[in-house]
Amino acid sequence: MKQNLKQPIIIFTILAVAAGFMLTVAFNSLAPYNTAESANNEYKKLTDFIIDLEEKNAETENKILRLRNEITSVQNEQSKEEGLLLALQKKFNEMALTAGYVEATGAGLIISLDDNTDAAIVAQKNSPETYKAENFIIHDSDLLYILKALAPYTEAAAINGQRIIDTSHIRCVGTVIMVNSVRLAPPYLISVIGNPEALNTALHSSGTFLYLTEKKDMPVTVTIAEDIILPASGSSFMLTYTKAAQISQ
Amino acid sequence: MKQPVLTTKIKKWQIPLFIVLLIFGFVLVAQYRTHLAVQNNLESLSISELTELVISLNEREAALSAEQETMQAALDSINERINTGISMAATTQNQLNTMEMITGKVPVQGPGISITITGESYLIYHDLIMLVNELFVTGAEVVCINDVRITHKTAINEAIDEFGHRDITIDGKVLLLPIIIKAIGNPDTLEKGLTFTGGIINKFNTIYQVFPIVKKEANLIIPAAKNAPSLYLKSVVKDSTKKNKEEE
Repeated sequence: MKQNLKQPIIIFTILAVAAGFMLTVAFNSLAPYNTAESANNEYKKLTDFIIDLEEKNAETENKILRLRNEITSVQNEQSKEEGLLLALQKKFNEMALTAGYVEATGAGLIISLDDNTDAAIVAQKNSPETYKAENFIIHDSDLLYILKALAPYTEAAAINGQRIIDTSHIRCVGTVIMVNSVRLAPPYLISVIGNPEALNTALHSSGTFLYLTEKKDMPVTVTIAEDIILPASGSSFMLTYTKAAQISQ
Repeated sequence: MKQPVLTTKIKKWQIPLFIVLLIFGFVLVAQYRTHLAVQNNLESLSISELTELVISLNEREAALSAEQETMQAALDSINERINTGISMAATTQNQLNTMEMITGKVPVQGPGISITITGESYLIYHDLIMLVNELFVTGAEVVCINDVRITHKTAINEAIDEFGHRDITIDGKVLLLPIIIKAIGNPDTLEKGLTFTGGIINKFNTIYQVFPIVKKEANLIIPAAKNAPSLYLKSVVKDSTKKNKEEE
C-alpha cells in the first residue's frame, strides 16, 4: 500500500516544484513593469506619450507625402508649358527616385528575417537558467550589416516599409529595433531593388547572413521578385548645415 | 484477487496527475506567450529606455514639423507664382540644387566634425559601419571616409590580402591609414553623440585601444559621390515630363 502511494507523491512533488518555479519566473519577468506601474503612473504616462508621438509623427509623415505629391503634380502640370521647366523637372524626378523622395518599383530581392521563437521555446524549457532571449532575436546590427553587404548592387531598399536613404540609421532601444527612428517588429522584410542575381550572390556571401542561417538557424526566407514596390521615405530631406561647395578652380 | 485492487489505486492518482499535467502545460505556454508579448512591447523597456525612445521620437517630430512647414511654404510659393503668372523654373531649380546635394551629385561643404584614426588598429569593417550609423543617428547630413562620400549604396567591407591580413575596403578599394571621417552637421551634437561615456568612441578606446581624434570643424568639404547609374529602378508614378514628350 505504501509503495503504491510513494510513486504518485514523488511525481506530484516534482511537478509542484516545477510549476512553482515557472510561476516565480513568470512573475519575476513581469515584476519590473508591475512594480513601476503600481509605484507611480510615470511608466504608463511615458508609454502613452510614446504612442501619441508615434501617431503624430506618422500623421505628419503622411501630410509631408501629400504635400510632396501635390508639389510634384503642380510642377509637372506647369512643366507642360515651359521647356526649361520640363528639363529641370525631368532631372529632379530622376534624382528624387534614387534619393527615396518618391515611391519606386523594380526587380530585386526580398529577405525575411524572423526571431527564432521555436528554438527559444525549447531552450527556455530545457535550460531556463542559461536561456538568453537575445540569442534568439534579430538585432539592429544584423539588419545594418546585411544592408551594407548588399549595398554595391542596391539601387533602392526598405525595411518593413521604411525606405533606406543616405542618412538612414538603424538602432535598438532595449529589444526594439528602430529604423529612421520608427519602431519596427519582427519579421523584418528587407526589400531591395537591383540586379536580383547579383544581390542574391552578395547575400549568400555575407558573413552575417551565413551566421544567422547556418549557426543560429534563424527563420530566413529569400525571394527573388520582379515587381517590388518601395514607399517614399517619410524622413526629412532638409539640409540645415550643408551647402553646395564653393570650390575655386 | 489482487488485480482489481491495483487497478482502482492507479485510477485514483491518474486523474489528478492528468489535471496537474494539463495545468502545467497551460502555465508553460502562458508563461512563454507572456514573455514574448512583453519582449516585443513597450512594456519590456525600462524607464530610461523609454526616455531614450521619447528623445528620439521628439527629434524626429521636430525634423518632420520643420519639413512640413518648408513643404507647405514651397507649395504656397508655387501657387502664388502660378496665380501671379511667374515662371516656376526658379523654384524648381532651387529644389533641384538641394536634391543634387542630397544625392551626392555635387560636392558639398559645411560645419561638422572630423574623426581621425592613425596608426595600426584592430578595428574591423563592422566598427566603421557602426561609426557611420552612429553619425547619422546623431544628425549628420553628409558623411565621407577618406574623401569617399557615403551613400546607402556605398559598400563598407573587408578584403584579405596574400598574407591573410584583413583590410577594410570602401567600394572595393582598400582603406589606407590615416582614416579620416568627415561629417557635416551640428558640430556640438555630433561630437557629444560620439564621445559620451559608453558611446562608440569610448568603446573603441576600451575594446580596441584605438583613440580616434574627434575635432569640431568650421568648414568641411565633402566630394561628390561616385554612384553607378540605376538600371532596375523605376518610378511608380509615370513621369509626366516623359508623357508630354510622348504626346509631342
